[in-house]
Amino acid sequence: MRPEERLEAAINLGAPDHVPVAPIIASVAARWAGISQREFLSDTDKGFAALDRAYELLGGCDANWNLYPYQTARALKVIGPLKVLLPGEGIPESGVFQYVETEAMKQDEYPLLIESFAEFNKLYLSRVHPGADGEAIRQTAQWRSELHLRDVERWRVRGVPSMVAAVLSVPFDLLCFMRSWEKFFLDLRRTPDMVIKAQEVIGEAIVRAARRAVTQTGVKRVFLGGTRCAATFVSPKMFDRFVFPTLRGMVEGLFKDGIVSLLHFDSDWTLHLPRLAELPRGSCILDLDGSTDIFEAKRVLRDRLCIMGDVPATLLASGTASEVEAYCKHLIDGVGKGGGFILSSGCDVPVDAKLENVRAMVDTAKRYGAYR
Amino acid sequence: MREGLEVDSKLADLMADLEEEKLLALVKALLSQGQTGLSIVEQCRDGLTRVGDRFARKEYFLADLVMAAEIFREVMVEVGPHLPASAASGPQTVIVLGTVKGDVHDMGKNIVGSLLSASGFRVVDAGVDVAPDTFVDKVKETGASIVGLSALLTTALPAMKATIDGLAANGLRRQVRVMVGGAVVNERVRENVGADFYGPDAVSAVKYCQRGGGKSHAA
Repeated sequence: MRPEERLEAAINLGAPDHVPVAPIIASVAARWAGISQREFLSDTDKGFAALDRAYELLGGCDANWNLYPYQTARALKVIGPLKVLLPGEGIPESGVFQYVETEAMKQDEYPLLIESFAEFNKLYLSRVHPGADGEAIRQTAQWRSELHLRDVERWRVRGVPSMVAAVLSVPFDLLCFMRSWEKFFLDLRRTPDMVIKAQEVIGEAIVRAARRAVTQTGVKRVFLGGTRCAATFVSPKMFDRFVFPTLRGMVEGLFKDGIVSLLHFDSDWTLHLPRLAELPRGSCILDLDGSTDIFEAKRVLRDRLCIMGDVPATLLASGTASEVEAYCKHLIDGVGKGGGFILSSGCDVPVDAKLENVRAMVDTAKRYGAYR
Repeated sequence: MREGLEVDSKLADLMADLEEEKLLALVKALLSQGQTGLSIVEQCRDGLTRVGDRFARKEYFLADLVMAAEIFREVMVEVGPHLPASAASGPQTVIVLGTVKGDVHDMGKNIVGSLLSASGFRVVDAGVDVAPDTFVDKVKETGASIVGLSALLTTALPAMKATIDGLAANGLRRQVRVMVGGAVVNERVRENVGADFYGPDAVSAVKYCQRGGGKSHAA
């Protein structure tokens, strides 16, 4: 079975020949290739080569997790969602880039955003990325799209599907980044109607961007990142009021066009699972990072949404290969049963992950994860 | 007396219900009527305790804790000038908080710090990307009895251990209780780095400090 067929079978809640495996390989590829994080982020030829090497070292996976174009130094410093520190800028050279949250959007600017998100976003980006004017933003967005397409194509010719057409956020998270979490969580109580309206406007823009990216790349899945709306942060009541209406509209709108939303939902989503079960069958992949009870996710979302995840970063970094294997077997037994499951890392494979641990994950999916 | 008790109860209720505008209006009114700042703070702290209890029962979540901390901060802005000088010098228990070297994430640290301050602790926030030596210096300077270390990245965990080792090397390990938290922290990490307590969330960290710390594992 080809990787794309394997992925599609799982996304459509069926059982392929074996559990698909697609660890999120990003910064760790640089370490395994023996290049610095700075080189990895700044030199796209070296970056691509490092990712190719990681794929070979793992013996092949079922998808190219194409986050790389969104995590290049150029993209992060001009059109990234937050102010960013790159390796060497106050954080270790061997470390990963880190976001710094500031109140770049003020509370009285909601009407401005609602009037025109496109215009406000340019203003916002120029605040978090000094020097990023309208032209730089446009050129960088164009450059990133071309890099993304190039990445999709070079894997396509090898028979490896790319996971997503674009990397986007749910509106709640984007708004939280813009306001900073310290201020945004206050907005939920102080200016709730503005928060809801702003998300509707942002949601429309994100859906348009998603459709463009799908048309350009031919990949019919889009990444929607969500952390700040997890149950770690907001109650189910707040989720119902502030998050789900917009999220459901986006997912349904995209699914009508045959586009699957890859809900990359970090932190703990356990209490929101019943609401996610209302999303159209097969419309999403729920991609978890190890904080959510993934077995409860299977119980609630069986035959509804494909589940992906969730080998924890700490296990991949400091566990042993046999511990990783045992964890993956437990996942395959409990979450992979009947299909509808893609084995992956819980969010990015950490930069200090042991190769033998990630290899153990891949091998376990191929051997133990065979559907009989 | 009965009326006073009713007002006190209302202060605590409004705090617990996160009714920002009503609470601040009542605080201002009470101050203008001559109510003591200390009694207002005490009642609001009672309300804050109930916020923590609601969090533990999963009625409130982190966003609600952020609101609670902000409301309490606003109450202190109003009440501060009305507190006697002896109260303004603050409590005796000092807690040094920081995100360890190599990590600049601050959300967990900031929320814990806000709630600890609101609960009457003196919080010394060392910031982010804090070197082990800096934690050691802060503990020496302040006489802190609790140190809180935060990390979101697996690559920062060696720095967490180095910090605790640094406290030991400087003869401070017996003086302080060390609590750790953050997305990549768990009981196994606590054991590996040599900390005393792992707090899975902000409220558990506050309760640990309110219990005076101790060589106990996460509650």
